[in-house]
Amino acid sequence: MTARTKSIWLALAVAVALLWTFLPMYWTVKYAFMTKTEIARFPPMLYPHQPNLAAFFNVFGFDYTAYDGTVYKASGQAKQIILGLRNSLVVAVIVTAITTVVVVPLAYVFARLDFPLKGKLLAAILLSVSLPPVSTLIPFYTLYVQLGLTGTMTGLIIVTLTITIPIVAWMLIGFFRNLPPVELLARVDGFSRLYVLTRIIVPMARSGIMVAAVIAFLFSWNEYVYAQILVTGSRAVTLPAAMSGFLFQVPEPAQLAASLLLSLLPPFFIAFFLQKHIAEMNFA
Amino acid sequence: MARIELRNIVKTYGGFNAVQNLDMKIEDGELLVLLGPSGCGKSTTMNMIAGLTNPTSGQILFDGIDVTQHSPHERNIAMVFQSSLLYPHLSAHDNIYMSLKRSGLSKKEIEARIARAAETVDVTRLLDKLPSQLSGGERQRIATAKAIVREPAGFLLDEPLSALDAALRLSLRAELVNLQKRIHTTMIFVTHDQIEAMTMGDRIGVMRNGRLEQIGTPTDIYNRPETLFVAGFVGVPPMNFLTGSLERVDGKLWLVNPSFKVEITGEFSRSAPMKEVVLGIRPHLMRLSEAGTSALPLTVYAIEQLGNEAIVICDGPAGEKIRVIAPPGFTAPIGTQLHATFEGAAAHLFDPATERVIAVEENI
Repeated sequence: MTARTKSIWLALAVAVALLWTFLPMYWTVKYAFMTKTEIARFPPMLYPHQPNLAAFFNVFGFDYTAYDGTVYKASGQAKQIILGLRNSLVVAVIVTAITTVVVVPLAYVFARLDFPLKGKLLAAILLSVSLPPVSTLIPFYTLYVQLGLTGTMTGLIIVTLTITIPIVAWMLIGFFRNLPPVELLARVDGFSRLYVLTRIIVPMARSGIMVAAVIAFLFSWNEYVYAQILVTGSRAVTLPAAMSGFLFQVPEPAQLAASLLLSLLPPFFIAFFLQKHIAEMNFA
Repeated sequence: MARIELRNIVKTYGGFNAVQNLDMKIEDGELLVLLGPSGCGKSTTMNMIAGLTNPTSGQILFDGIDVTQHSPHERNIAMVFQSSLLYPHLSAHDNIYMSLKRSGLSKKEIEARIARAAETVDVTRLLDKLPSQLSGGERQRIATAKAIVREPAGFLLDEPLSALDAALRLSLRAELVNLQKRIHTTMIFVTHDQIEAMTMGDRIGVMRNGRLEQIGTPTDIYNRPETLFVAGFVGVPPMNFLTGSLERVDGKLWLVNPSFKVEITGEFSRSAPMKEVVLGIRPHLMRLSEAGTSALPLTVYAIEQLGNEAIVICDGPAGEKIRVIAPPGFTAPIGTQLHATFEGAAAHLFDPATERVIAVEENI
C-alpha cells in the first residue's frame, strides 16, 4: 500500500470513529435547542433552525417566553434535576477522594511488594471488577433496607465505592508496576517505606493517580443502576436517576436533552483539562 | 573507604542456592569486578554487600566490624543501579541531594558537597535538568555523582553500562577507573561482560552457579584459569578445547586423540597420565601449519577479518569449533582442509570430571 492510499484509509477510519461517537451525541444535543413541534417534524431537521434556550430555563425551574410570545413552562422535574446535580457532585467528589486515598497504598502494595496469598487476593479484586452490578443489586437493597441506608447519600457512596475501588486499583497496579525500581535507591538513601510511598512514588505517579481519580469520578457520576433503585425520589437523588424521571412523564424531549447535556459537561471539562496526563499513562 | 570481607556467605531462595559458601576479601581502595553469566549470583552478592538483601547465613564485615544486620544507609555504601537508575521526577541536583538528605549535614555543607561531586564528574551544567532530559552517558555521570557525594565506605555498581551503546561504554569505562583511582575508593563492579571486567578490574571474581570459581588479577585469570568455566568464559576469541588422553612415553607426556597428538611441555609436563582430559589452548597461541602427526586437522567454517589479524573458525576433528589466529587478510574458501599446531607448553589441562585444572605432581 502506498503512503497515499494508507492515509486515505486512515482518514476514513477516523471519520467512521468520529461519526460513530459524535452522531448520537449531536442528535441529542440538538434537541436541547429545539421546540417540541420542531422535534416532532418529519423529515427531521438536521440542525435547530431557530435555536432557543427554553429547555435549559425549564429544567432549572424557570418559565421561558419565546420571541413569538409562546411561554414554555418550567419543568415539573426541575427540583429533582437541581437536587440531582448537587447530589451527584457531592457523591462523586467524596467517592473520588475516598477511592484515591484507599487505592494508592493498596495498588502500591500489590504492585511493588511480595506477601503471602498475594495472587489470590489480587484475583479477588479482579473478580469484583468483573461482577455485573445487577448481580449485587438485590442483596444490597435488602441489606440497605435493614440498615436504613436506602435513600441516603452515605448508602450510595458505599455502594459506588465497591465499584470504583477494585477497578481503579486494577488500573493503578499496572501503572505502579511499570515505574522504575526507585525503592532500591531510596533504601540506599535511607528513606522509610512510608516516605517512599508518600514523597517519591506519589509525585512520580502523579499523572497515573490523577487519571485514576478521574475514572473514579466518572464511574460515580455516571452510576445509574444502584442510584435508580436506592435513591430515586428521595432527598439523595442523583442526576442520572433524576433525569430518568422524564421517562415517566409527558414527553419533554428538549428538557431531557438539556439535562443530558448538563450531565455531559463536568466529565467533558475534566477530560479536556487532563488530556496531557491521560496521554502520559500510555494505555496503548 | 573500607576493607570489605565476606565470610562463608550463603543465600538461598526457597530451595534454590543463589550463593554458596562465599568467602571474599576486598582491599581498601581496590576495584573488584564480579564477573559471570546471568543468574550466577553476582548481583545477589552485591545486594548482600549493599545490605539490600540479607544473607541466609554468614557474615559481612566492613573494616573488621560486622555489618551483616545493618541497613544500606547505616553501612554508608553508595550504589549505581542498572541503567543508572535515578528518581525520574527530580532534577539532577535533587537526585544527588537525596543521597545526603538523611545525613544530618548542614544545608551549607550539603550544597558544598554536591558542588564538589558535580565538579568531580563534570556535570555542573546539568544540575537543573530532569533525568529524562539527559543522555545515557550524562545519566551515568549523575548517578556516579549521587554515589560519590556521600563519601561512601564502598561504591557498588550493578551493570551500570549495560544499557549504553558500545562507544559510550568504552569511554565511560575509562572514566570510572580514572575516578576510582583519583578518589581512591573501594569499588565493586558487577558485569557479565568479560571485556569490561578485564579492562577495569584490579582483581576479578568469576562466579558461576552461586560459587566463586576464581578470584585474581586479570592477568592471572587469563593466564592461569583454574577451572574449565573460567578458561572458556574469559578471553576473546574464546579458548579452544580438545579432548584426549594423557600418555607417558619415553619419559615424555603426550596428549593423544584419534586424529592428532602433541607433546605437553612446561608445567603440565609433570602431570600424571590420565584416560580423559580436556586440553585448552588460546587461539592466539595456535598457528596454521603443514600436515603432520602433531598438527590438528581442521575444516574452515568461517573467517572473521579484524584488520590487524584474521580469526579462522574451523570445525575440529570431533566436530568442536576451533579458532586459529591467522595473518590479516588470510582467506580460504569454506570447507578448505587446514592444519594447525601449537606449543605444548602453552596448553592448559583440565579434568573433565571435576572441571578443574589438573594437579601437577611436584616430582616424578
